[in-house]
Amino acid sequence: MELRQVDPGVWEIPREGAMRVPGRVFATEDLIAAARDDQALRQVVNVATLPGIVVASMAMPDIHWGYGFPIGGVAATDVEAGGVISPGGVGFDICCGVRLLTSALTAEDFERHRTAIMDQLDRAIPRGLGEGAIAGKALLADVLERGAEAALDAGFGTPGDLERCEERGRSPGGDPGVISELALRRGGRQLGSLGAGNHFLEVQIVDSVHDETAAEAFGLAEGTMCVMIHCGSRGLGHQTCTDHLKVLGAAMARHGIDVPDRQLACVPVRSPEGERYLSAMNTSANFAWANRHILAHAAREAVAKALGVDPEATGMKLVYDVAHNLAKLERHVVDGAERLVCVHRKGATRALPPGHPDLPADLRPVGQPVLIPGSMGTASWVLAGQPDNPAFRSAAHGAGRLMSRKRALKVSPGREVRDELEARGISVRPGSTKLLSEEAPYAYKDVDAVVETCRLAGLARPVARLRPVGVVKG
Amino acid sequence: MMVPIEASRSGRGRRTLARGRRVGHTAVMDGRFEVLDHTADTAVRVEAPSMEGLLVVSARAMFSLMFDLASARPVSSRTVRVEAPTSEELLVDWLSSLLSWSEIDRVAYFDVAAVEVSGTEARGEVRGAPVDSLAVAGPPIKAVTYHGLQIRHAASGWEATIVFDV
Repeated sequence: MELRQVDPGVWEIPREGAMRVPGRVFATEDLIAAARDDQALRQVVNVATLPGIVVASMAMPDIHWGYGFPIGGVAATDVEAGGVISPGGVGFDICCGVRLLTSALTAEDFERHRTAIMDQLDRAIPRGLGEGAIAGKALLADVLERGAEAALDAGFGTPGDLERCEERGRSPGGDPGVISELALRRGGRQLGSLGAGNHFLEVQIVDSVHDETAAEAFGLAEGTMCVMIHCGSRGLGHQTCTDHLKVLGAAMARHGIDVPDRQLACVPVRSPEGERYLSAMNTSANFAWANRHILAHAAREAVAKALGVDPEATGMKLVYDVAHNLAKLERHVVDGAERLVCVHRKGATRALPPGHPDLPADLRPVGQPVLIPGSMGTASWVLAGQPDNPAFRSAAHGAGRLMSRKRALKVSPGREVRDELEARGISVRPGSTKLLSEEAPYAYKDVDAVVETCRLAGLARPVARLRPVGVVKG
Repeated sequence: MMVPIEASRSGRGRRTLARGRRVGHTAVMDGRFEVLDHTADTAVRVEAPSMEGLLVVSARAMFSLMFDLASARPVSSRTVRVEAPTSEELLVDWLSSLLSWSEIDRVAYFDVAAVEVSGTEARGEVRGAPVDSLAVAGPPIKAVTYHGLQIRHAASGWEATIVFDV
């Protein structure tokens, strides 16, 4: 496969064979070298064969080998021209995403109450295999229909939260009736739980500000304590994706579609199977929006309890909640004409530019907050959407894995990883100490390089860097 | 390192099922598996002398990625039935089904007591231990993927590489 640099931070894989569009990867030389080591670039090529794909099969700077789509993959298909929707372009963890809360607390406040805050968060955040979810099953149907809005009405969170959520925390057409019995049984008891793997809740301090105006609009000042939550739709989403992959795989032949990897199973968006998947995906997304909303509420209460104050006194407010595993019907200009496209973001964050009508009034002058968590123990970043984003208004979603879990386990045991983090001033509350090594900082790429590429390629601009001081893991 | 699956446990061979009836012994369990490198997720290569064997070994492999099964004793059981047009899809559906029931029942169904593959259908009796009784060996598996899955004829019978989303 040919790979050539076309601009600073932009690489292209020219069309060949069954590719309908070229591949386009936003990366520095170091990042592209890491992607060459595994099958990630082959996956960019595979995605370029999907029916109806327009412009290019794209990948963000944190690209790495996934299943079907690469992680960091962005693909838009022309809905009215037979463009497809692929559950593999969303992933099993439908609407997995990140939520960031700012606060009225400072780094000094955190230091004074470090142990109490971490211990309260440790108790308050259900994680790992255990159910221990915060919300009862009774809320499930309403959450599936209305997402975070239902959780807010049930007493979680604070007024104004929805303004600071992508989609206002509610994906369109939520309908509990489209979710399988198995998915309901699997995920029904998990509403308000973190899960495990790379999911986390982190306490962070704003380390440096790179765009004063945007940082002020986001409520981020140097030295401010923040809480970041990374999780998704839990077993309900996993099962929904599993259910529909089977259905779409069987339906492809009827639509005359052939894909190079069964995990890329897809059907036209405008087909009965496509519409059903879209509806089930949006309904599962509502679970995820609400899940993060409920966990944020629990975190706020936990911090307040640790400080012995009323939750309102913590000043903990939502900066933004954004998904990085989702397909959405959006309007974009393609070849000079506005078209309805289905934008798949598989490990990529939506990044609306300043002035976009979907942004709340207070964010409109600066653009949408783009949340890029680093690996455990390293910095995370907040960026802002830029005009003329070249990737269907998308940016990176994280540091991107560099090392397999198997290799990471061999480098050092979890206990050593924990001790090293603690020595660096990061309090760790793991669900399993053993599993810490799989998520150790050395298993991931350098998040600062990912952010720099986002800036260089015009995907988003850096606003603030956050350093971790405490982590709650599954 | 390949992990061998014992030919029989407690001196009892596995049996195939036909409409719920015991019909005889099969040598479906002399398989093995190894964990492979995959950047983001986890992959295993499984080998077994038959399709039934692949189902047995892959179930063991999947749950051993999540739990330490060294001293696990199966105490709960469940019947699982899946249908799929190809062997590859049958394997994925089988594991997906075990994973779903595992999360619902909170039981790691690592032990396949009986299994039968008939055309496009697989039926099995699986047994397991409560997940809360087991030590964690790895992160929970979210799903079984079709990525790059191909069942190949190998010297030892059948071989497949399965990628799990974790």
